[in-house]
Formats: sequence, C-alpha cells, structure tokens
Amino acid sequence: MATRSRTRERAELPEILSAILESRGATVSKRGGVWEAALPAPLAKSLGTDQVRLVMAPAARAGRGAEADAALTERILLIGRSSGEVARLVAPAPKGARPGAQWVRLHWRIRYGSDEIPEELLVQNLPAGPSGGLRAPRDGTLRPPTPEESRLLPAPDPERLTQAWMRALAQLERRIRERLRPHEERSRRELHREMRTLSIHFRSLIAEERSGRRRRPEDREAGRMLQLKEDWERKLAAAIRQRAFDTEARLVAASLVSLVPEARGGRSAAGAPV
Amino acid sequence: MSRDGSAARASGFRVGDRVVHRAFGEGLIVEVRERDGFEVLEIAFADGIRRLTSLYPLELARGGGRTAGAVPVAAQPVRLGLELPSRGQFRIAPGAEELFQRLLVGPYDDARDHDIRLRVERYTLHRGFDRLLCLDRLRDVQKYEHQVQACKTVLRRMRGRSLLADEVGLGKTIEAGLVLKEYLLRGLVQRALILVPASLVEQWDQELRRKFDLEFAILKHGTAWWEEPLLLASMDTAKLLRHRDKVAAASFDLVVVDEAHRLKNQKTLAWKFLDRLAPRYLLLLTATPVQNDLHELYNLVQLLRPGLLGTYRTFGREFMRRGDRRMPQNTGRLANLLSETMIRTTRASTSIRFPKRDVTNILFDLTGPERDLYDSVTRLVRRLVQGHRETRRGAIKLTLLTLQKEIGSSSFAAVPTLAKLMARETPGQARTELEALVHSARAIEANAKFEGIRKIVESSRDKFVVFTQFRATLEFLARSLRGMGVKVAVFHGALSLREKEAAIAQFRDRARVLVSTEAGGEGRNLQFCHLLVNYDLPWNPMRIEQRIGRLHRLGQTHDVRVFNFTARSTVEAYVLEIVHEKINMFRSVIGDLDMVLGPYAEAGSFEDAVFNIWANAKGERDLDREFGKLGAALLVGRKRYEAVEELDGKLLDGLNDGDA
Repeated sequence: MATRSRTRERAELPEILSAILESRGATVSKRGGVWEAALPAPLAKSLGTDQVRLVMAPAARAGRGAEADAALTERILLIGRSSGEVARLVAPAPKGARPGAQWVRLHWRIRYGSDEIPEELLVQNLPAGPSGGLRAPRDGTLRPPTPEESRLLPAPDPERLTQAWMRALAQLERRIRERLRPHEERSRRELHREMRTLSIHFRSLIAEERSGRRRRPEDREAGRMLQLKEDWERKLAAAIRQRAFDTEARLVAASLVSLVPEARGGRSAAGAPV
Repeated sequence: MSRDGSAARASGFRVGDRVVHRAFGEGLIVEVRERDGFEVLEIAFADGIRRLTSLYPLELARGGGRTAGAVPVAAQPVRLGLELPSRGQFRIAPGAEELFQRLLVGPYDDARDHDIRLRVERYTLHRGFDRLLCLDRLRDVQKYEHQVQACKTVLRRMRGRSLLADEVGLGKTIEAGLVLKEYLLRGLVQRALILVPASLVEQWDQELRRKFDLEFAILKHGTAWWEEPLLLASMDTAKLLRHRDKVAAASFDLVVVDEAHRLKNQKTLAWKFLDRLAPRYLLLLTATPVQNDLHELYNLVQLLRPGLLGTYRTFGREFMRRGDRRMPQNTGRLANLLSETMIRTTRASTSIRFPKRDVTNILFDLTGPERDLYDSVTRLVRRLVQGHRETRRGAIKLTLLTLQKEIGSSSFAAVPTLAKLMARETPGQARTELEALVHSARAIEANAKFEGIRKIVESSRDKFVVFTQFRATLEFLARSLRGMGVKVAVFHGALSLREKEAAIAQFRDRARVLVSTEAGGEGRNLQFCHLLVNYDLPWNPMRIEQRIGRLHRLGQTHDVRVFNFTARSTVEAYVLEIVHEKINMFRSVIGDLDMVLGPYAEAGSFEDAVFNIWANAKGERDLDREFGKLGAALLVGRKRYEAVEELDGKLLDGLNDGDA
C-alpha cells in the first residue's frame, strides 16, 4: 500500500508543481514525463532560477529536476499555498431543481497529537439555507462561474452562513471525538491493565509487610517496592499526559457553491471542472 | 473552568456585560466559563438565569455596561458571534474566522488557485510518520537506511521512548537527531533537553548546529538557561543541587541522554534525577547497555517503560540465570519485551563497509637549536612547577602546560607564551633567561617535522589535512607549503562562519592541503579526503579521536591513512606511545573512550596527568615508570571496555536473533 501511495505521489508532484508555476505565469511545455517551465522575471527572482525541469520518474541523477531538489519543491509548493483559500464555485442545477440553492464547503486540515491517527483533510459540505432536499453537488460537477454568472450570483446571506458555520463546528467536534474515542479507550484499557499488574505487586508487598517478614533481610526489597509504588503513581500521571490526544483543526480553504441553470450547449468556455 | 479573563479572548463577552437575546430579551452576564470546549455564558434574564453558549447570536445592549475603550461586539463589522470553541484537547487554529468573513464579502480567489491549493494540501498530508519531514531539512548528513528505519520505529512503534543501542559507529547521534528534528518540525516537542557527558557537550553542540540546524543553549551557571526551549547540558551539571529543581520544573517534552549506561544504577543521583524529569519522550543512547549485570538493562528500561520487565525481583527470577548475573534465560520472551523499547543495529546487519585506519608514526630528531630550545623550556617548566608552593602552583600551571604543548608543536608556537612570561618577570636572572629563550625561539626559522610534510607532498598526489593545535604553527605550515607551490586552504577558529565554509569549499574543489587548528576537528565533514597528518599531538585522546573522526566516518570510501609526527624525547612521544600501544586507538574506533579513560575522562584531567608526570620527573627513568603506570591504567580500561562490548554483543545480538 505504501508503494502505491509513493507512486501516486511521484506522479502527482510534477503535475502539481507545473500547475503552480503555470498559474503564476510560467510557460510550461510537456514532453513525455518531463515538464520544462520557463519562469517570468518575478517568479525567477523568488525561486532563484529562470528554468525549472520537472521529471515524472527520475531515472538517473542527471535527469532530476525540481523533484529531487527538496528545497525548490518546497518553495514552489509554498507558492501554491499562498492563495486560493476562498472561492465561489457553481454547479449545474439538476433537472427539476430550483437554481439558487447554496452550500458551504469547508476543508479542514486536522492534525492529531498522536501518531496513531494520521493527519487528515476533512471536507464538510453544509447547506447554506434551504437546499430543496438536494445533496451537495459532486466534485466533478463544480466549476468556476463565468463572468456573467459572477455578476448574477446572489450575495450570501450572513445569517444562513452563520447557522451553517455553527453546525459545521458542532459536526467537526463530533467527528473528531468519534475518531479519537477508540484510541482513548484503548489507552485507558492499557493503563488499567498496567495498574492491575501493579496492584498484584502491591498485594504481595502488603502481604510481606503483614507477615512480619519486614524484619528479615527481605525488608530492603519491601522498602524498595514501596518506593516503586510511589514512582508508579507519579509515572501514571506522566503516562496519562503522554497519551493526551491534542488535536488541532485548521481551516485551509472554504468555498461557496451555488446551483445555476445548466448553460445551453453544455459548459461554457470558462467552465472547466475544478 | 476559564474565568472572564480568558473567556474574553474567546468571544468578547465579559461578566457584567448587558446583552440582548432575540427570545429572552435583555440580560446581564453573571458568569463566563468553558464546558466541553464551548464557552458557556450564564445570563440573568428577567425570568431567571439561563445558560447559553456564546455561539448563540447575542448583541450587547445599548450602553452595555462596558468600561470606556471597550469595543462593543455588535459594533464590529459582521461579527455574528463566530468565535470558535477552544479546549485543551481540541482546538481550532486561528485564521478560520477570517476565511469565513471572506466567504461573506470576498474578495474571492481565482477558482484555479483554489483547486491548486487543495491539491497541495492533499499532497502534503503524510500518513503519520510514514514520510519523515526532517529528511529534506538536514545539512551535510549522509543518511543510512538503518538510521531512517530506527527513527521511524522510535516515532511510530515506540512512541518516542526508546533505548538506541546500536553498535559503535553506526550513528546513534544521527538517529537521535532525526527523531528530535521530526518532533520539532511536527510541533510535538516544544522543549527539549540533551544530557551528555561533559567531554561531549561541545561536540554535540557542533553537530546539532551544523547537521540539524538546531541552536541549543548550553546550561551555564549565571544564565537564564531554564527559559531556553532547547537546552544542552552535561549530566553532571544538570543534576547539581542548584540546577536539578529548575531542570525538573522546566518540564521538557523530550530528553535525550547520551552514554546512557551511566544510568545503570537505580540508586545513583543521575538515575533518580532522570526518573524525576518524566518527559513525554525519552531517548537513551548507549552501545553498551549491560556492563556487569543484567539488572543494568532493567534499570534503563525502567526509565523508559516502567513495569515492562516486571519488578526488580521478578526480572531477576525470570530472566537471569542463577549464579550468573550476566547471562539471560527465557531469551525469547525477554527479546519480545525489549523489542518494544530497544533498537540495536549491528555492523554485520548493515551492508556498510567501514574503512580501515592505516597509521604511520614518524619520529623526528629535532635540529640542534630546536633541541636546545625544547630542553631549555622543559627545564624552565620543571623548575617553575617544582619551585612553586602547592597553593600558588595552579595559577602558573596552565601557562606552563600551554608552553610545553606549544614547544612540542613548533618553536613558532612557543614565542607568544615565552614573551608573556618574560613580560611578567621583574628584571633579574629569570627575565634574562626568558629573554634568551625568546631570542633563540625567534631565531629558529625551520622545523624538523616539516621534512615529513615535504615528503608526503612529493610522494603522494592525494589531498591531505594537517592538524595542529596552534595558530603560529599553522601560519608557518601554510607559508612553507605555499613556498613549495602547493595550494593551501587554511581553517582556524578566528575565521567567520562564511570564511570557514569557503575554506572547506576551497579545499574540496581546488586546494591540495588543508591546514587546520583544532577548530577544524569539530563537526566539519572532510570525508572526501583520506589522508591526515597530526603535525602535533594533542595530549587528550578524545581530541585525537575527533580529528581522525572527521575523515574516518560513515561514507568514507577509502581506508584512512594517519601520519603522527612526533619528535624524539618529548611529551608527545610518550603520549603517542600510550594512545597507540595501550589504547590502540589509531587502529579501531573506540565507542566510549570515556569508559577506557576511566578517571581521566573528565575534561583536562588526562592532560593534567601527563603534565604532572612530565613536570615532576627527576629523570628519564622516572618518566618511563610514571608513563608506564598511566599506560597500564588505560590498558585496564581498554580491556574492560572490550569485555563489556563483547558481552553486549553476545547478549543483545542474541536477543535480536531471538526476536527475528
């Protein structure tokens, strides 16, 4: 599985990088698995090079482009992250549906404090007002509005948006809790088991104390066990602290999706899917 | 529960505010607190007190009772009560509300940028620690598969609490650095403490700085070190009574302990100190976790995973053979338990080829004037040391020790110290004698040992590094080599960071020889070269090892040739005999030189021992006898170390096999 994801990453990365460069004015040409990007002056200045070569599957060291240069890759990705947080998108209204329904799409990046749960991108689709019983449009149907549509799109209703937002927060918290619950419960079980093991030792310790063996040479061992018990109590507190699942949700992008009547003759020129 | 202070940060409402609710009318906030991650407001309405979360749309009433200067919530543009919940376990990073505002009124981004951003976000999501973020951010570090694997195991399976027990030379420091850097990059560690033997503080500092780009503060008395998020300290300093409470109170997220076999005994202050720190993540580094008794391993594991190996007594009963404290039984189960917290990589299990060390010791006869000067300086040093009363000896001893080392390096190096001594003396016989020494030192223009350099230059075409301890010798060497038409790069502590980098680059790309002082021995990676000359020999074996270690390290593809230059009947000749014949340090890597040196491991103490023998000797027989004793002590240390290494090899590698 790891191999598959690595392969996918390798295939995706040059595409993403070339798309970023292209969106910032670079002239990108593709030949086979190699992208060549000639950078405009401002981009060349910020990246420190006027030409970037991106290679799909680097066969040899000499053939490597930005993919091999981690620092350059990172800088380009940073450019890709520098904008595009908020957008308005449209989707064609299905037959019989009333155009005008709106949805809020929120992309949360969730970072769990525990490595047992991977970081994830959580996407929420919530109706911003009456949705007419429709589900949020599928990703493939979303597109940017044409200039004409942009003019006609109604401004979002603050109150409805606020209600959607409040629902989103409650839903987000619920989903995070659900995700954490099994891990927390397992942690609790582990701690409980450790404590049970310990309590067996404590019993033997107490038995030793009661049987009067403490005056014998083993006395030292009993004393040590008491010390151990105190240590354990302290460590238990530390272990609980260690197993806290601190989680942070960061809203990385948001969009407002509106249903519009299907343009005659299919999608408009500016209406490539997003 | 958070009172109005922190709550005000969350929603802007405070106790005493008058607010208007759509259904309940006007009310007075009597309490602001947090519950289940939401801010709960207790509001006294006309019909009684109600509890509402701050997510409900509320507005400040007119003249809402705020003090002057406070901005009413309703007066702010499109506020809508959107403050986010905040709890210990789940928090929303700042900035979300800003995006919400932009959804309402714009400006909107281009849809294509939006798409790119989402793709970038998706791409940069890594599954747990499957992909290490730190690998792209290291400098000048050759990473090996076993190191990366160890790092992932520590992060994923062992949850940051691990005993790194790799064999010597496989890069435990790099593994610890990788874990540290990864945690720091992921924000899982904010405060880290590294505890090392005093003799290794400087080396760790250099490595962290150069390889991992981490600036650690060093624990020093008189500084506010406890405020530093990244702290490097010697274990002995950190556990001092005046420091230990502050270190414990600083509550470090990650603690790394190098040479952790020093924590083998539960009764020691060091063990108790570390136990008290109770950090979230703990890395113990040692190649020899067991020295005499399996309980030592138990004690180390007890720090990492208390209870994993049972109690002290049950561990002995279950896992130790009767009558032999070193040999384990039930090895399969012990291996299983240890694999939860210990990582041990052996040289045999990696495909790494370790270069050999090929050593040539060259003994020179000093020229007539050099010999006279050396003997005169030695006489002066002995007279001054023996002549001073014990109480006053310390003040002058350091100067004399330096002088003796300088004259062992070259006559040029001794001039400044001789001149300083001369300036201190009042006119008289002593001053006249010193004047004569300064005069004869200045008159010497050549150095017998330089012949050796000339021969190397002529007989080989390889690049080589010449180490010396003193700037004056370094300048003489650079001058003389340039006089021969050899391209020379010069490296010393007075260069700026940029000049140092430039000197290394010059040596790598153009120059044939790098002449370097001790400053070049620390942290600089010179493995593209495999020939080293110790033009003078430090009296401290650790420094010698550091010099060789710059070339003889993982990644070196050639066998390393070491030339040791010494002059006959000098301190250096005796030191060389000890470190070469007794410790055998030129031939192989010694993992824990500390253990070999025993009581001489403390900074300066071996040098002191050498100097005391030299300065108090009545004659050559005295010297032979005393240096013989010193050598014998080190030989014992070496044998002990080898025995421990062998035991750990048998014991732990056997356990690893059992695990497999």
